[in-house]
Amino acid sequence: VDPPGAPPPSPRTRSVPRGHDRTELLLRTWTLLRAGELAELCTLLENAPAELVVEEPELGVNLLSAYNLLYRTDQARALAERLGPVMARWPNDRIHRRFVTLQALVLYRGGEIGASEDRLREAEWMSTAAGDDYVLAWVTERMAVHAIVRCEYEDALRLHHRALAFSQRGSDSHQSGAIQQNLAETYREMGLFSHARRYLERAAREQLLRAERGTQDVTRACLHVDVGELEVAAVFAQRVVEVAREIGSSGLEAVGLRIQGTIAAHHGREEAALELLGRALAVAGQDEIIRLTIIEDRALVHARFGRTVDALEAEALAATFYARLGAPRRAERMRVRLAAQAVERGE
Amino acid sequence: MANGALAGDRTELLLNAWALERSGELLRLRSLLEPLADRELVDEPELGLLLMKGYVLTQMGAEARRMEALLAPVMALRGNDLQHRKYLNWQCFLLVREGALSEAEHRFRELEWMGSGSGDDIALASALHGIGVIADIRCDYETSLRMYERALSVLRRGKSRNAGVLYHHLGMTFRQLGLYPQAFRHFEKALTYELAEADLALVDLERAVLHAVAGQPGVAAFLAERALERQRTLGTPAGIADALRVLAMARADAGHAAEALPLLEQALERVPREEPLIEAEVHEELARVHTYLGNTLEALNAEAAAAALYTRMEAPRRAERMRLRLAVVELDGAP
Repeated sequence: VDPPGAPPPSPRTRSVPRGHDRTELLLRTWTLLRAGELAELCTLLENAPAELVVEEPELGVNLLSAYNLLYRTDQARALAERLGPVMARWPNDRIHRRFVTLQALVLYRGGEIGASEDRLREAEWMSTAAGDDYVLAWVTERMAVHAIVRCEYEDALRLHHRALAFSQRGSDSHQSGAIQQNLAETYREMGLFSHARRYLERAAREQLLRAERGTQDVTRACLHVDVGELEVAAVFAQRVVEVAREIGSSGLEAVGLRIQGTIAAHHGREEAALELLGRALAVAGQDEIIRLTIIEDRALVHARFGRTVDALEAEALAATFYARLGAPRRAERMRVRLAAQAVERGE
Repeated sequence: MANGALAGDRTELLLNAWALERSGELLRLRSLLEPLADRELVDEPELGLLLMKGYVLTQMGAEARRMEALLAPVMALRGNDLQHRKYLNWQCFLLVREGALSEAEHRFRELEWMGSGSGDDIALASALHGIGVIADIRCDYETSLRMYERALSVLRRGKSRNAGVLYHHLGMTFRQLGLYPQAFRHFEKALTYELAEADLALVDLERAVLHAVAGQPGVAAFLAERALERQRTLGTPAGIADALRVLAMARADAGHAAEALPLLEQALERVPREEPLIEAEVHEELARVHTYLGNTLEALNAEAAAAALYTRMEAPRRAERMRLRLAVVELDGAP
C-alpha cells in the first residue's frame, strides 16, 4: 500500500523548508520510492539520526511505506508506534491520511483486524472529506484485502472495483496495477482462473515495483499449482524467493518458501515440504497473515500424509487466528480442504 | 401382459428386468415394465421397484411419484427388508429432485440406520451418498466430502457399480471447491465404471461445466451437446433442460451470450415443475446471460425466480453463490 507511484511531496513539506539537507533527503527518498529501490531507502534513513524520521514525518511515512512493501512487519510496527503521536499535529493532511492507511496495514499484518478497520474507516472519512482519491483508492483496496482474507469474495470484488475506479480518476499506473494484481489473486482464490489470468496480464502492463512483481509471481505460482502444473509453478516460486532475497523482503521470502513447500507436498516429498514450511515460518516474523497461510498449508501437508493428529493441531492453531480475524468462512474453507484431503488420501 | 402374468412368465420377466437394470439400459427396462398392470406391479413389488428406479434415473418425476404411491401400501407392511430399503432409497432421490431437502435428508438418515442394521452395504452407501448430495446442493461441502468418503469406504468392501456415480459426485464437489485437477481425476474415475446411459449423460454434463469454469468453453460446448443428444435419446425433459442450460453456459462463456438466450428459454419450457433444482439453475443461468447482455430488469427477474426456488429448497447458500456469480459478470463480464 501507498508505494511510490503517485503521491508527490505534500505542499506543506515543500513550503516549510527545514534546511537544505532535509529537503534533499526528502526528495531522495521520493526518488527511491518511485524507483522501487526500497532496501536502499531503508538503509539511507536507518543510517540517518533516529529523531529525523519523527521530526520530518514525511520521511517517516516514506520509510513506513518501504517497510510495508518489503513486508518488514516488525520494523514497520515499531516505526508506526513512534510516528503515531506526531501525526496528530497534522489533522487531515495528506501525510496524515497516508500514515493512517499504512498504520492500518501494519495492524492488519499484526492480526489486529478490528483496529486496522477502525483506522481504515478514519482514513476513508478523511480522504472523502479532502477529495483525495489517491488515498481513498488505497483505503478501499485495503478493505477489499480484508474481505479476501475472510473469504468474503463478493464484498472483495466490489471493493476492488471501487478502488480501481478511484485510482483511475487519478490515472496512477502503479496504483491501478497493484489493485489489478489483487483482483487476480481474488479470482484465483475463487477458482475463476481465466479472470485471474486476465488481471495478471493487465497488472503486468502497469508500472509495478520489483517487490510487487514478486507478488505477481506468487499469484502465478499458486495459479499453476491450482491447475496441477507443478514444474512451472516451481519456476515462479523459485523466482519469488530469489527476488525476495535480493530486495531484502523476509515476508515475501516466507511466501515463496511456503509455495515451494506446497509443491514438494504435491510431489509426495513430505519431509522436504515440512522443512520448507518450517523455514517459511521462521522468516515470516510477526506477519500474522503470512504465518496463518503457512500454518494452514502445514495442516494440509499433515493431512495429505495421513498425520491426522498433527493436522488437527495445526488446524486448531489456525482456528485461533480465524477467531481473531473474525473469519468463520475461512475456518470453514479450511475444514473443507482438510475433508477433501481425507477423501483423496482414502483413494 | 395386461391380463396378468403366469408365475413362470413373471420369473422370466424379473430376470430380463434385472439384466436390463444391470446393463444400465433404463429405457428398455421402462419399455419392458410399462405395459404391466398396476396390480401386477404391486403383486410382484420387485417389478414395481425396478420401474420406479427406471423413472427416477431417467428423471421422469411424475411417473416415479405415481409408482411410489402405488407401492406405498405394500411397503408399509414390510419391516427392514431389502425391497423396503430399495423403495426408501428411490423415494429419497425423488424428494431430492423435488427440492424437499430436509425431508429427503430425514429419510436418508432412516435408510442409513436400516442399511447399517441389516448389513446392507449398498443401502448404507446409497444413504451416505444421498446425504452428501443434499449437503452439496446446500453448498455444505465439508459434510458432502465426509459423507462421500464414508460411502466410498463402505463400497470398497465389495466392488459396486454405485461407486461410479459416487466418483461423479465427488468430481462435482471438487469442481465447486475450485480443485480442478482433482475434479477431472474423479470424473475420469467415474467413467471407468460401467455407467448407465443416464449416468453417462450426467457425467458429460458435469464435465462440460468443469471445462466451462476452467476456461475451455469449446470443450464444454462439445460435451454439453453430447449430453443433450444422450438426454434426447432417453427422452427425459428434465435432463434435456439441464443439458440445454449447460450448453447455454458454454456459449455465453465463449462470448456468444445472445445465442445462449434461446437455449435457456427452451430449457425453461421443458423443465418439469417437479424438478425445482434444475428450474432454479436454469433461472440462474438466465440471470447470468441477461447480465452479460445488459438486460438489467430481465436479469433481476430471473435472479428473483431462482432465489425463490433456492429458498423453498432451504438452500440459502445456493442463492448466495448465485449472487457471487452474477457479481462477477456484472463487474468483469465474460471470462
